[in-house]
Amino acid sequence: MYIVRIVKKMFGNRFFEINQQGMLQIFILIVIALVVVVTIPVLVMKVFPAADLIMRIILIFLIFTTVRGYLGSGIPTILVTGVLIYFLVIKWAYFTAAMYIAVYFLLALQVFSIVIFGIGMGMRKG
Amino acid sequence: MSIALIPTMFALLSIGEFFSDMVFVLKIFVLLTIISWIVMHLGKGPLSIVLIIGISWFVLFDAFWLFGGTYVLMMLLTLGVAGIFIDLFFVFPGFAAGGGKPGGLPAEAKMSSQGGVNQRMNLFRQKPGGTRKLPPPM
Repeated sequence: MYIVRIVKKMFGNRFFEINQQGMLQIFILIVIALVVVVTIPVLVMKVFPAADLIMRIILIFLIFTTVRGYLGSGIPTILVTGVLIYFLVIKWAYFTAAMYIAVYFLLALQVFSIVIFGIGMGMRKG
Repeated sequence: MSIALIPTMFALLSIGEFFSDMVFVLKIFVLLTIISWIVMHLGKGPLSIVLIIGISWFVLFDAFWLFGGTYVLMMLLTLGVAGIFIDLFFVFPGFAAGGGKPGGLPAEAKMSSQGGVNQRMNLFRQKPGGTRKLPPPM
């Protein structure tokens, strides 16, 4: 109730008029769906060591290709790739895998639009 | 009490280390973008090197608070985040209040040039299962 009072003070009743159309529930469902989808590769990497290795190899290839696209083939590419591999693949591999799934599968391949659309269709009345 | 736990949480979960590492990685990507852009326009000459050093110093060390966020926003827009917001706010507004019903709120795309938006809106207006015929019961 304290949160409701704060929201009412900040936005007035307009926020709750929006919620009458079910927007708040939709946003919560979308956030939950996003978190679940992004967590899947991390769980798979934790459960299956082979998947962990394959995902790291994919990330290494991705980083090297990206850096080579910027700098071309040469020593700077290898140096920058090494630094990025240390941080993204060795140190924060699970976060990078989750971001890889989120960015490439959900955003670039428009899967996130399907998730939003599916939730909207599922909550439709009539 | 709970506020006092925040620094402990930061230390235990190493959020500060994670944040600083990600800022460093972001700076590397911004530097790569600057180098690529200048080399693409001016080639590999002394003027390019001077410009790379000058712009990199300004962007990475002087005003990264501005350019870091701008770079992230630009990357997200490049990857199609705008399409998601169009889906959320313009394709099916008011659908939970009966947007698909005949007497419900009309779902209209107010601004979009995306090709598939109208198709998705029409699909949304249809009744569930209205377009496909179910097979007869055996």
